[in-house]
Amino acid sequence: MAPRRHEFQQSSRRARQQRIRLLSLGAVALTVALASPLRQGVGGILVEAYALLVHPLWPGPTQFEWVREAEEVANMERLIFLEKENRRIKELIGLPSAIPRGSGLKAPVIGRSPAVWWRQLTLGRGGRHGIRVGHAVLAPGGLIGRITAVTTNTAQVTLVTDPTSRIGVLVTRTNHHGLLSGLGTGRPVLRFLTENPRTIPGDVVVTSSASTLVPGGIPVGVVQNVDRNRAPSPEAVVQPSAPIDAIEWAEVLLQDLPAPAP
Amino acid sequence: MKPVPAWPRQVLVAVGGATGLVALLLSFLSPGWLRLAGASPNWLVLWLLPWAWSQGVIAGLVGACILGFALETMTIGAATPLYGLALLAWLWGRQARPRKISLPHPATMAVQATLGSLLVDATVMAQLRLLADPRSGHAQPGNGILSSDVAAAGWFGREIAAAGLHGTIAAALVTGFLAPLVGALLLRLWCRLDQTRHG
Repeated sequence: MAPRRHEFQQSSRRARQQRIRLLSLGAVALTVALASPLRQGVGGILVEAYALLVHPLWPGPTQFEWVREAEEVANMERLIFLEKENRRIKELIGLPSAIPRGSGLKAPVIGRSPAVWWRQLTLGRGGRHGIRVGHAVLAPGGLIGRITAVTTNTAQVTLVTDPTSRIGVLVTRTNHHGLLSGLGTGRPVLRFLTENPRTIPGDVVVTSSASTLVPGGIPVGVVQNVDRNRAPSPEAVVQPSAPIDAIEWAEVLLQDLPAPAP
Repeated sequence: MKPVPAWPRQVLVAVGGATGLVALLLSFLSPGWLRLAGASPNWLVLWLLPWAWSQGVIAGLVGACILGFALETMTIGAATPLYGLALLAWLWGRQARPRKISLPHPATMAVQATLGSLLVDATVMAQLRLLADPRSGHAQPGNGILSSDVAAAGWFGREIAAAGLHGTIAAALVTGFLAPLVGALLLRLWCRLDQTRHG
């Protein structure tokens, strides 16, 4: 009897130990299962509290400016790379090359129109600095006009808004050509050469590569509204992208365009 | 009593010329002074009003022609304010009373200057509209672009008139507002010089 009893006791002890092990394992699993969301919750609260506490030490506008400056530098490098690539491709397919960077001459604006009938600027640089009649004049934003008279130290610019100004332009989205004519107001009018130009407000207008007066591809403005019922062809009012009334310095492109073929 | 020095006429002409030059330079000033709705006051009209009023038709016409011609040479295109200014000099010069200059009512000066500014701008507008195409080769910069085909279509004149009206009225208003101040100052100056000259 004694050995059987001993065996029974041993087996019951083993069973108890197994139960205990199972229970321990379950407890551990339960703890782990509960701990994960708990950890997340507590961790979230702690991080939020930390963020609140160190708020005065957060990166300020200066650091943000550094980031923006870095972005601008990166954009500029990308632009230079794209320009080079664009020039190379244009050379490959035989299109006239765009304006090389740095070919402009900065000139101060020393005089403006005396009345609404003349939309002109007088620049403080002239023939002595290499400016010639016909050179295109740019400002931050795009084309503002062309040189129409030059003295030794001054140059007169006829603005794109002057009633005597006419420039061949292109709507970049639709690839439709037109003639940009000044009206004496702040916004010139674009007369399309096609009957259905499919242009909508917001389209960007650049100088046409086919123009013999100004280099192609220079931004001029944005279409503000389109009048499709105008005869003989539709018209659009264009807002110049350069703030013409506010500029104090302009850039003259010292680049003579090739004379048009007879 | 202290004897009054006999001022030669040259002093009057020199001061008149200097103020006229200032008026001309103010017309081109950047950034423009006292602009209303993008339009500067008509400084030449402001100068001419007291000059012609005090000095008569001949001196007024000479002043108007010199300043009008100077402005024309400094601007682009073929339109000139000279005709309008000369007309004003004749109209205002006829009202001059030799040796009997008196300051007119400010409202009179304001109205005269406003009408004068309107007249000058109207003559320029008429030139732009009617003289049509003094610039045949509009491919050349500076020759302008009032090309005959566009003028024939008629839209150009309408647009010019509509666009110019706004600026013309703004310039006339701001000229009228300034006239009592600038006109009175200059008229007082001419009076003093004239009285001194005539003893």
